[in-house]
Amino acid sequence: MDILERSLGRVEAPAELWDRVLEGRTTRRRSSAPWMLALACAAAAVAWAVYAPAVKSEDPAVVREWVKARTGMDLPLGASARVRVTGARVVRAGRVEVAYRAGDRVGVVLVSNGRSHGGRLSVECEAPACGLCHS
Amino acid sequence: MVLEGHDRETGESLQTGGSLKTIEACRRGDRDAFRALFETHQDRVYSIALRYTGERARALDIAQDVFVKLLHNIGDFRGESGFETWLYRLVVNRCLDERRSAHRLMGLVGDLFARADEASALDAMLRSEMQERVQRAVALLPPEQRIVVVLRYTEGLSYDEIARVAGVSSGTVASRLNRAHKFLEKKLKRL
Repeated sequence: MDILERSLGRVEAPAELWDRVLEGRTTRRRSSAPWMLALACAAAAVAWAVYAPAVKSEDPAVVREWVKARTGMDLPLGASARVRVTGARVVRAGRVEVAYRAGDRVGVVLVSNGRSHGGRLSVECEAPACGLCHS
Repeated sequence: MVLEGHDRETGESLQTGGSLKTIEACRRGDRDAFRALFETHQDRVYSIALRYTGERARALDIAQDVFVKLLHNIGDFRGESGFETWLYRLVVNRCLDERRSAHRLMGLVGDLFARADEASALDAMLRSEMQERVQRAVALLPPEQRIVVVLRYTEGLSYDEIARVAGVSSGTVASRLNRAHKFLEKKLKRL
């Protein structure tokens, strides 16, 4: 099937891969069971419901602007058919929760402006041990 | 692609795998040797992961895990099979270990954030309708068929080579490819 050869060819690995390998050499992520993942995300959803978001909007540009104005963090939030931003909350300096909805499911991801990541944004789940999210 | 350290000095080629000298150096903790091994195989490992998962973030996770495992476990490589075959096995096993439940959510998290490098050639290529449809169709294949398709069309491995990597018979490879082809033909017949 020619179309497979044309479409599934080899690509160049991103330059960040080497840095990630060096990071992973000393801090390997723990694998997580699916139920842990579901639990962590459910906890995130509950937490989000209890603590009202500081900004509620389904417009990524509005949320992005709001976060940038308060924290200086420029989150590259975008529109997607599968998942929609619903709001954001500043947890503390350099740490923001972004709420999203995907179909019937709601969830929260934590975004950190971590020094340990060379100034890059780090995205993680509400439960640090879940091993779901990566910088 | 630039090869650093030992292989440049000795003139040995890593194109067909890791030289024993380089592998020995990796075992001794020689960072330059590991970097050379990484440089040689990074595109191969990442491409398999990307074609298998269809998502850049997950492919990066897999490639990272494979190289970290390679670094820690290179002492297990005895040279009984070729280095590439051994490496392919690491990649294939890691791909097949991906948990479906984690996939979906990770994909969603990835979608939440517009990627800064969306203008890259890779993403531009992946955005083309045909390739997206092919990638989506491949993603619908069962894992055992999908990995065989990736090894065949991304890496160009023969049935026998795929069989050695996947630990199944050549007949099983042929059967899985045949079923995958039928499925993909049906899904992609309008292309």
